[in-house]
Amino acid sequence: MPGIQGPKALALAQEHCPGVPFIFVSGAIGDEVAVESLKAGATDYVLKDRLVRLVPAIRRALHEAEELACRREIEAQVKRSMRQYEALVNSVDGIVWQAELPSLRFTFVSEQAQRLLGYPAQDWLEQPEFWQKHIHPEDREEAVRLCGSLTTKEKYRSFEYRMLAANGGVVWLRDIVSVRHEEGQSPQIQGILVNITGRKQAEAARRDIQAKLERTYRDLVKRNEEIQNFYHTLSHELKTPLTSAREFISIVMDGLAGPLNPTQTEYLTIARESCQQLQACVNDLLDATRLETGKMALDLRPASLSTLTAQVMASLGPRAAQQQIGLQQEFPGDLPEIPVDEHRMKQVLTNLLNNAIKYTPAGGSITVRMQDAPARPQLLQISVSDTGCGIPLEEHDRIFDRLHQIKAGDATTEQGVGLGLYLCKELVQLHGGNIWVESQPGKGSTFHFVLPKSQQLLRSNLLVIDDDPDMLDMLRQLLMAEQYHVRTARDGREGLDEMRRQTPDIVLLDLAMPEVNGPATLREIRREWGQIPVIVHTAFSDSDLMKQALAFSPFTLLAKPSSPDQVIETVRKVQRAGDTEVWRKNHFGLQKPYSN
Amino acid sequence: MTIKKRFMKRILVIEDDKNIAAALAIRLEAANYEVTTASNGLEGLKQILENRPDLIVMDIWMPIGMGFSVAERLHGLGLSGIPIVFITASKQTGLLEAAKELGAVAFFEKPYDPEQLLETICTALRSKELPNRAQTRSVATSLC
Repeated sequence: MPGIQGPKALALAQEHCPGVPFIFVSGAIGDEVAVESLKAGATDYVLKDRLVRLVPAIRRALHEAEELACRREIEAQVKRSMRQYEALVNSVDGIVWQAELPSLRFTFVSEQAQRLLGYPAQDWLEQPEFWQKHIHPEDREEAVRLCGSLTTKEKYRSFEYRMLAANGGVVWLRDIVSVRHEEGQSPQIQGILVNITGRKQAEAARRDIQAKLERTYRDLVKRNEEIQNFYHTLSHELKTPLTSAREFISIVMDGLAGPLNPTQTEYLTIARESCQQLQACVNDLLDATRLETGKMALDLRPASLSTLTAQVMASLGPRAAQQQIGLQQEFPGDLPEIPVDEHRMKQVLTNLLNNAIKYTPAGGSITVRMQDAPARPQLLQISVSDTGCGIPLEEHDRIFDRLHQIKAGDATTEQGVGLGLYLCKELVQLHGGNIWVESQPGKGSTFHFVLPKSQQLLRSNLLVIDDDPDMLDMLRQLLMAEQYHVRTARDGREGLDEMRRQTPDIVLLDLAMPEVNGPATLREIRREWGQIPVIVHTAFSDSDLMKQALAFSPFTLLAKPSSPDQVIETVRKVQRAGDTEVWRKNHFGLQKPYSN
Repeated sequence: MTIKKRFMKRILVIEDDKNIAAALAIRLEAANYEVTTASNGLEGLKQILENRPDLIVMDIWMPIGMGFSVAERLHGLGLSGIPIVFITASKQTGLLEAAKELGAVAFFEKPYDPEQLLETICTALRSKELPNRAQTRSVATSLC
């Protein structure tokens, strides 16, 4: 052609538009030239005197060009997915691997191998038995056996073993393994090794803590026994000389050692009383230890509390009379027998009456009353009132504490080791009851305690109002397991309906509820049922809802989220307090104990 | 005197605390019983076999020969007919039950009430002569 030769044009075309088919059309050409052109990249070669072949040649060239483009596209795609797949495999936080079976020769490991164990991936692939050699000797045999015995029938198997890292450390790994067996190929085993060192360390730490806790628990139990034994021995050692001293005093006083003059009798009386006081102290100490070590067991039998009280009053009568204190009783005639441990109940009554006598000046009086507890007819309430010096408000809770003793000077004479009221509280609570005091300094004190009339009636009726069905279910199961009768309601309206059907003993109320919310429900409860005990169970202790609810206090607050123990503890407290204690203690706008 | 003595009931006191043993002896002698004492279980057992007392007053915790084991041996020796009154300063639970099982006639906690003790002994000795033995009595001394 003029200006440009065919081969030159081919070179240009290939440079500027590769992929476009190039066909030579020539008048005459030697075989050699034709071969050269095809070698240089021409698609075809048509002689001018055979132009009839040109059209099929063009069709074929176009078809081939299309196929080639397609294939190139597919290759590019394959490369892209390979890169993606590699990136994916290498980004997995674990070693992805593949090996041949049964030789367990590794054919692939992901890059994480280097990061996790510190050896380059090639080592895994090139060194024979690299994997086996780097398993912790203690785990090696088992891991190799598990891997080698895997069959295609199993979906996957996972096991845990240790490997030795390049830095000399030990890495705990979990290997999740499966077998792939394709037609015509040898079986492959593949898996992923995940680093579980952290979990293993945490487990070991937990086991350590568990073991420590168990040891501590065993130590405490042992210690408890030791304390118990120590006090038994102490009590025995104290009582033996005490018995002897008291006996010899009695023998002399009974005239078995000759006649006595009145002064001698008087002095010996004092000595004998001192022995008795000492004896009471030893007994209190032993009882307190029993209570603390949980070894106090009650022998509950139906008994008439009025008879018991009368017996105690009769035995203390002379002492009261001696101090010119009047003892009165106000019992209704129809009191039922209730389950009590007679000896322990006498102890409670004796302690309360002794205290009353101790703190009441001459000319005063002490009254014991017995009646159904106000608003809680399932409880019997016993009240010991005196006209003594009274107890300041801030002492009201503390006087029941162990080791608490009213300051010297308040009392006329100091007696006992200050365990009396502590023992009263513990013994009453062991009976399923509660004790509290009402008092004004200078005007006297009243100690009240309530006891359940029947152990069965200890099963309180609870109503739980909460819009969260899971919460309702959880609370119901929890409280039923604690032997409470439980009813539930999903909102305020349903709750109030339930209450109208049957009045519960305690209401457990959520604040944030749709429709009739907590404060609105509480308002209705107060309007219809007065001061029925309510536990507000809410996550919003500082919210507007809480402020609204406060207008209908008192109630006990149980903050969400609450543990099962907290729930039960709170319900028990409210149940025991019945009337006052918890409401006063557990806050909210309440200064004075609630009175009916 | 000897004739009178022959009719006196004989009581054996087994008690490791010498003072309490002495106090018991004074009380019991004052109530016209013939009293012998032993300071431990083994010595007590020897005396029982030699003298066959009419009643035994016995401490539970003693260094040699616990009160209970003495009572058990008496059962084995066919001497369970001798009434036993246990006295203990221990407040351990289960002692009263154990004493009951051994057929003790009474169980006193120290410090005991001497009048109640004497009354119980008197009743036990009288009912011993009757075919039906008195049941174990628990005398919880008032402690407060």
